[in-house]
Amino acid sequence: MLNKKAYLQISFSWMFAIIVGAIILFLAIYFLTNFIKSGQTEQTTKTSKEIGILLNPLEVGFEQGKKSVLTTSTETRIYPRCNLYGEFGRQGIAVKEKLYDKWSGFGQEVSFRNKYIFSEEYVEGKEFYLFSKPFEFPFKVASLIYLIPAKEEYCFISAPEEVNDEINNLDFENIFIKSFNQDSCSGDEINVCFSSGISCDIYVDCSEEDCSEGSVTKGESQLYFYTNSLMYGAIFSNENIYECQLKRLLKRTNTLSTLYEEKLSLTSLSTCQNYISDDLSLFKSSINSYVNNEETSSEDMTLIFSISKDLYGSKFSPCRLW
Amino acid sequence: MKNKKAQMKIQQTAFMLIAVVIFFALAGMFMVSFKLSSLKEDANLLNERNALLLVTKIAESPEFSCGEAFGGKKVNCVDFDKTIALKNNIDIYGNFWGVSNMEIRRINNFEQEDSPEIECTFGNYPDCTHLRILSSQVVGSDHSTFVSLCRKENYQGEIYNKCELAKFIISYGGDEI
Repeated sequence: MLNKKAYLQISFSWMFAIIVGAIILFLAIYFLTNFIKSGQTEQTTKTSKEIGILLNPLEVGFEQGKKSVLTTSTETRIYPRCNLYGEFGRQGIAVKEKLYDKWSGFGQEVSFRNKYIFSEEYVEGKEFYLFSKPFEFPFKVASLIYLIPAKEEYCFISAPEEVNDEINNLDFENIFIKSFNQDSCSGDEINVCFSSGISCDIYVDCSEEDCSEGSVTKGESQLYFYTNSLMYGAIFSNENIYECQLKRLLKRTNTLSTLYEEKLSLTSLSTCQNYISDDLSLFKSSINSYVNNEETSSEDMTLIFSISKDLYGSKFSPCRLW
Repeated sequence: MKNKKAQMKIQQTAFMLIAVVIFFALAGMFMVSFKLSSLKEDANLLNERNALLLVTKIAESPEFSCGEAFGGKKVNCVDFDKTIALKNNIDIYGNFWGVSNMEIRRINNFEQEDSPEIECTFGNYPDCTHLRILSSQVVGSDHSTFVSLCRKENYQGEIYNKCELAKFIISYGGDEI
């Protein structure tokens, strides 16, 4: 009995060392975990900011299409987010990275007021294609950026010549062009059909020969487009992002119309005679009612589009505004 | 005697543990400061890369660029008429471009060094030397690019395009693009 008691006896110094040692170990593990987490957040935030900066060259110049490749060191998920808050809305970019087969948390979202990214809810991979096209409605409003993961392959079937030429010129490795008569795509790609009658993931219905107006049907959603650049937006992005970006673009169009109205008054006073003032006012009020109504969608833009077409005619006036 | 020895041992262990805690704290502080300095370096590098592209991007944005208003598509061309209208509506834009200030300075080769500086307003346009688009305090670093500054002019009832050389300057605080 006495022996057993002696066996359990631990000196105070040992007990003290064990308790304090355990506390130190616990704190060390706790801080290390936090340190790793903040490191991941820092890395993902840095990636988001870098993506934003990489987009800058895509927005400069008059080119009808510009392509760029974005490569990340680890498997990455990019979440382009759109919100309509404020005068111009915001484009957010949040990133998740795969570390040891697990997705990290979101880094700090980086946001921009002057960028418009069209993509699915998130894109995943190590390599991404970015390409941009100017959005002119009827004056240049912004450069639209389309974000596609390199591993996702698209097959454009029976696309108009203009679209085929554009895709060929941009030299994508993941977008294939097929005519209706040729062999069909392998089956793994996302099939984008410009004519009905075949089984496809995305249908594009063009009202014009060059496909500058029409609608895109993806599953149950139908998105309407009014320029060639919006057609790509509707193909490569999901419904929420497309409708949100469209409203953001119209918000900017509205502000630009104000600038052109003032430019018109300035130039009319001293030099030019321009007769588009009424059209500009009507354009602005139609955009305002579209943007301020939460229920409106791309389908309800017919009036705005027809005024935009009228305004396009002023391009040929002796004292053009844009 | 035995009691005193035990007390000494406890004190020894306590001092040892305090030393260990201080060591870990110092090592932690060193790591945090190292991480913060590298983070600041990264942020500066990103801002620098951004600023280099930003000045050209802003000059080419639809709020400034000439588009086809002066015959054909022009690169690095700022529409002076549109920019003065922008100055009038700058409150709407706020921090749209993420720069603290934007200024356009006309460069006239006949300009005298002591000629007065006149800021452009709607009232004195186009008889002025520079247009400050944002009036907030100038902070951060300056970046500039040369542009053609174009406007419509009227000579004896005939409209013509007048373009001159100007410097487009931005001050960049690095808050946002």
